[in-house]
Amino acid sequence: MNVTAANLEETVRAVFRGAVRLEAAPVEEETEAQSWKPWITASVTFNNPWHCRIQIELSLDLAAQLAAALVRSPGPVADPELWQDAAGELANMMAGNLRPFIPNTLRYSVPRVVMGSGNAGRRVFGPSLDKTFLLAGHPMRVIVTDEGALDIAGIGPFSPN
Amino acid sequence: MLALVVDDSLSIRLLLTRLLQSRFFTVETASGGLAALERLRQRPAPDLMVLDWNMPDLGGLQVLSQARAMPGMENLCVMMATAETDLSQISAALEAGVDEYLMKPFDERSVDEKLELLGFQVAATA
Repeated sequence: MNVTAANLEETVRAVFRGAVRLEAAPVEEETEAQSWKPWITASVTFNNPWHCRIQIELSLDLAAQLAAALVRSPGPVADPELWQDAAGELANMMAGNLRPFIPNTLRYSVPRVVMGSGNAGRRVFGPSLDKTFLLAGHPMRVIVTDEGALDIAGIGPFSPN
Repeated sequence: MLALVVDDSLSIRLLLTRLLQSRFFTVETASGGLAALERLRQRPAPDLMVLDWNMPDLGGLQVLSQARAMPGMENLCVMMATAETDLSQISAALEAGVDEYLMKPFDERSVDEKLELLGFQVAATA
């Protein structure tokens, strides 16, 4: 069982369609992060038997839009705390829905959210799937990283069967 | 009808509050497992508890286990609302006494389906 690009794309589409009623369209060309700073990074970590991280990066504009859609607000949401919470919850939904593709996982963390420009939340170590999607015209980057610290059995999320 | 929504996510608490209020529930919220247990020790008891699985202070299954041991809570309707999709985990939740399982992401229709399965009337207001 591996996490493939198709698994990731299918999961992103399903989560965002279900949670915020938006179509997530994959884009082939990397979108320059510089063009959509400042951003929010939300991540969830699987801890057994290796370390695997699901991370989403999105602009504040998109986070505000997603927060309003997630809570079914009739108007804009102006609360940055809610933007962060919504980003974390969407990362949490991604993790839960990707879990069937990640073998032998016992549990995953609660979301960790970092807000601001710079590289605070952007650490990526190890092999990763990295895909950018467009939602309502805004880019969102999704990264699944095999951090592999405990990958002694060679059964990480991208390992061959 | 009184519902207690237990989730560490503010977004989910707001969403479920909105959905349940439009279905004629009075809604109280708790942002963690410990707060939920504290609320369950008080009266009136809720008719329904919508419970998150993965919370930082006390997990949903632990909340459920302790809640079921409280006097008068044996028949509390409990709906687990979680992103957890692993079938073995879902089975564990049902065996632990969860009455219904609501998978995140969810929409109004899936909430209504689960409420109907639990015996609640779900005619929503506009």
